[in-house]
Amino acid sequence: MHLLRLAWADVLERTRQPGYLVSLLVMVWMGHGMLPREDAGYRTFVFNEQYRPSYGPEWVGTLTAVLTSVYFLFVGFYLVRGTIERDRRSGVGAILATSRMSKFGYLASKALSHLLVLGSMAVVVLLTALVTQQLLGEDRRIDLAATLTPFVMLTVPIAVFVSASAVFFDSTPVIRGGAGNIVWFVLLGVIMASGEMKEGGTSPSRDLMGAGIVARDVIRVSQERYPESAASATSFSMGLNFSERWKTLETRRFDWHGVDWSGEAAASRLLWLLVGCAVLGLAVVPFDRFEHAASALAARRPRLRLGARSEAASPEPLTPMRSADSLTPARAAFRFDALLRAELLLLFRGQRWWWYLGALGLLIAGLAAPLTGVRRIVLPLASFWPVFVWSALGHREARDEVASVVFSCARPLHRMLPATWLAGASVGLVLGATGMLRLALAGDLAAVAGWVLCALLAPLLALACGAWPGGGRLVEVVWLFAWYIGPMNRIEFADYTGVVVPRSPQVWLAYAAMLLALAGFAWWGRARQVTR
Amino acid sequence: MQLVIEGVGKQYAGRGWALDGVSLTLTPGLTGLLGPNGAGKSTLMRILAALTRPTRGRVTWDGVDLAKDPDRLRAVLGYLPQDFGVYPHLSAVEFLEYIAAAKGLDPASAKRRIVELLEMVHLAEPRHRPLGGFSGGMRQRVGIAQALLNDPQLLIVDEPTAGLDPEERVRFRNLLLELAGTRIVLLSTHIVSDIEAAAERIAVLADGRVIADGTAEALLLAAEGHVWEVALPADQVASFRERHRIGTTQRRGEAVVARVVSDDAPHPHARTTPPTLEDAYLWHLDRARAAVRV
Ligand SMILES: Nc1ncnc2c1ncn2[C@@H]1O[C@H](COP(=O)(O)OP(=O)(O)O)[C@@H](O)[C@H]1O
Ligand SMILES: [Mg+2]
Repeated sequence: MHLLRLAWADVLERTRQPGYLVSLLVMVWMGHGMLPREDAGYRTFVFNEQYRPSYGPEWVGTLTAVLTSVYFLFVGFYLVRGTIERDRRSGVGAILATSRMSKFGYLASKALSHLLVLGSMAVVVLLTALVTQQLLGEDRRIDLAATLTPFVMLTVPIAVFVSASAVFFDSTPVIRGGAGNIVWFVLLGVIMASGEMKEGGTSPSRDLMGAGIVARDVIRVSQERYPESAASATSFSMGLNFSERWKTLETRRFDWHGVDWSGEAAASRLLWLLVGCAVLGLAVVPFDRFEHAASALAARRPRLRLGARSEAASPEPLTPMRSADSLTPARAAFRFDALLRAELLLLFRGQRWWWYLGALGLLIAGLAAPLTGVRRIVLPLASFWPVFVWSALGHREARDEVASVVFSCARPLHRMLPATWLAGASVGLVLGATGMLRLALAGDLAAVAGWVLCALLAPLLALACGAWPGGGRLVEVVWLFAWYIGPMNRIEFADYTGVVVPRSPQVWLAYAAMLLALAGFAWWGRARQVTR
Repeated sequence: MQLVIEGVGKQYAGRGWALDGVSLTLTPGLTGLLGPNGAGKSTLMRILAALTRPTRGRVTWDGVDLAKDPDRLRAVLGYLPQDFGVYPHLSAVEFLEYIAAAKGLDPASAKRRIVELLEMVHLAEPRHRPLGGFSGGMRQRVGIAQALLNDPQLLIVDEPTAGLDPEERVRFRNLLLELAGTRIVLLSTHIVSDIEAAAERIAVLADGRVIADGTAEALLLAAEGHVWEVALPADQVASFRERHRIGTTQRRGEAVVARVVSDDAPHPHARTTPPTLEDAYLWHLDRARAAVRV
């Protein structure tokens, strides 16, 4: 009961933030987009180019359930994680540490609250999918059980796995912070690669998302209906797939009545559900039960600590305070370069050794790799590496509670905002320096300009979003998402690096307009932060 | 040099008025803003620091409206918030250099001033260590140094003695007194002894209103004749406390001597006694609450 109450309090806290409503709206938009129309420029399901089940209750449920799972793995993880860290920072952890709460009870309550948040998102997708099914009108049968079952069988184990993993990451030193975000991303890459479909599906122990189960069944039915679809080599994908050719390609549809969830199929999903529970159990091992948070709290909150005790740490003997009039007079003379230097120091001081190591690796790779490698791998990685540095820019004043100190300085908008922005941009310029040099030597000045624009854009996006609660997280998710679509899948409009795909003038214009719009938003957001 | 607060009110979304019709004119000298927790002290100070917009009323600095040109005031402002953090990876020197740059101070002279300020608040030795490892009292002193960086003409300090030890408090109070010679200093607290010896003027804030404003003597004079002393058997104190506002109690042999704030004699044997500032403060609070109830 205690556990449930704790989890529920957590859920209430999160759902009251405006960011939560935004994330649900995003789910409506995505739920709708998961079922593209015939003439859309993208597909979410591809089997030998043109075969797919009609949008009936089973297929609508199955397709959206799989895609929701993908979303939870790639985005949901980042959205839900961080609540343990928040407890640690806010001091709630220190209070809990002195209570009788058990390690497992606390962690389970966090996982449960993650699960409820993810669950509410899945419900939104489900409802949107039902509406979209009627709008598309390919097969208007309503069969709630058939639409819901894939969510239960496919999405729920993933949601459990993601919730438990978020708790595990949050309670483990080193991967507790920004490093964990990158570790998770790499881990997903490995899981996805090992689960890649080979002739006739994957083994259940590798099929985290259950896509293999779906694939086997869809392919079987398709081949019964269109024998020629069996003739060509199998290509099968569920996920975003952009191409102009989809707009004109005619699909061949067939009726599909869903996976038969019995025997082996159900057992493999149960297996993954248990894996999720095991991850949660494992999290107890590294979790320190906020033992170190108690002292951190005392340091943060002067009033909770007895004056005499805190002063015991004061290393100097007490002598009369020096007179204020004997100080060097303060001379007003604003210097932008001094502020920029201070901003850079602030930005670089916060990074850990492994971040610098990665940055160094990228710089060396920028010199050593062949030019196509620089374009397609090194620079895209360099646009990804500082995402957590950038995302902090907009909300660090709130996070470290220095807002009232720094925003009461003169001209916080005209002076500090541009300095912060340029400091952020210089990170991108430095990380891409060797790559830009290579591109410039090869004469591709458009790509160099593209990279400069990217470096300017990223911190501005963070400043524009960071002013709202949860905005920093949003930036990370948007950037990762765009990274996957743009530089990785080489889609022109989403390639914000400007080096992977050559840009048409329209896209240049769009990016320039975006830069201006973001500048406006950043200004507005900061003004809101300064005076509430 | 004057700061004029005219009929300032503040309503937080979905709540009552945190401040209601506050008017004060501040001139050079030390003004104490005294009030219980939740009275609205921090809200008023945030409004003066241009961090919060008042719902009603206006604030002017030397005739310039804060809402129209907040930077005029920010340029001469030193503000020590009640709750604040620091960038944990920066050292004290680096943090202050950041603030100095943001405040638009000349870097070379600011560098010297920072070292001197850190000496002044006794942080010279750990000045190159990351702030993340500082204790609460040490951070509070970094906050004090930060507020004095630009040699402010208007110094606003919100419950500044929190986390300081008694000796530090005395030193800090002397520093404020020195500064108040030619500057406007506004200090908020809920502890009477913090300002008793220092403030030339005390404004008492309760439930968002100024309920008393004047010198310590004036506050004492108003409470004259409303403070009583009565000796009670120890076992009657609890039931007596339910009916009367007891300030302090003191054990004297078998009996307990209670100081009571009341307009009429609380007990047949009660005698009036000269009020302390603490008594006077309680009496003003009581009177204000009674006025609200009527
Ligand atoms: N940001 C805020 N949002 C909503 N209510 C607030 C906020 N800040 C303060 N309050 C409310 O305004 C009142 C005055 O608070 P505050 O100014 O902090 O008082 P004090 O500093 O005298 O203790 C309190 O009732 C408090 O709950
Ligand atoms: Mg306060």
